Amino acid sequence: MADYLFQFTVLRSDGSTYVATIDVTNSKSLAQATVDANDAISRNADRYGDGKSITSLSVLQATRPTIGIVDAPAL
Amino acid sequence: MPLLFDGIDDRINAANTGIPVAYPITAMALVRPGSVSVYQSIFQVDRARSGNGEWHLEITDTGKVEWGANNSGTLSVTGSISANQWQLIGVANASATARRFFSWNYETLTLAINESDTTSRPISGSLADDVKIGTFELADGVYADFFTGHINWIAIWNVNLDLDGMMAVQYLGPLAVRRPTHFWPFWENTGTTVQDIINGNTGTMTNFPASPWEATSLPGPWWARSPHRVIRRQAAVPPPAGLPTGQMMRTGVGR
Repeated sequence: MADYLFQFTVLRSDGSTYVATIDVTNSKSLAQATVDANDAISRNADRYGDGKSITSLSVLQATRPTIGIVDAPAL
Repeated sequence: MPLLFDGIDDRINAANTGIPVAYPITAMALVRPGSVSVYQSIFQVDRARSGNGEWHLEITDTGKVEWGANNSGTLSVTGSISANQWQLIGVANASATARRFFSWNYETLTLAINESDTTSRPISGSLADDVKIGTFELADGVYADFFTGHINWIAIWNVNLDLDGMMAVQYLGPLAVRRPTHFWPFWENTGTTVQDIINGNTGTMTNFPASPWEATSLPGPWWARSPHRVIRRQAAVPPPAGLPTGQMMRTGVGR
């Protein structure tokens, strides 16, 4: 299961859009993950959208997996 | 068995011991992309930032092979990658400005070679991060370009394989022509790690389902699927009674 999974849309210079998913793993909160996702896509906008900006960023999954606590086996 | 990536968040992070960050470099992979409408990274060394040894092999959203280094890509201008077909994809780099894009479709029997691209793609810096398989790390912990479909193996050589060498891989597999420096055959079929059997770089699988290996239809030897007439050895059998001796009759085997 992904940490914070977003769907982003980037506008291209020809008017078309590019839509894909992005997974943010290092952020402590959804708010910070959103900032990190925006920053990463913006810095790579040339890659996806001819220098145009992000037009949408929606949350697909906002549940950071928790580390399970396993009971010690009975002796 | 091939490993199935979901195109949403499945990725592998592997150790980077011995990964070349200077040319020559050849990278090849046997893949069956489930789509060619989005960027799909097959292999990325380091991550996209300046001052490191980033390079990557990717399929673009227009179905082209992309070789990139230092966070910049350069596209193959010959051939197209197709969805849901097994294809051997590779790029052999003699230097930052001399490379050969190679793709072979095992299902349509189509070979595409492009040796004309001279766009400069220098690799600068040194290894500072792990290797990504099936994704492209845009920034620290921010993963994109998830691969959709099957990857059967990935191999890397620290030499510039010539065309004969790449075609030998096409015919006989990655161990046939020259020992790769790295080879992930994805033959574990269980567990949550994959091994580079040459250099021991263990890859950790993240976000995969319990059984992502699929016994899907791998391409057979291409010559077994060739539409061209293949001359096979035909068995000779004794003639039926009544035929003159000394004549043989061919069976229908191979026709």
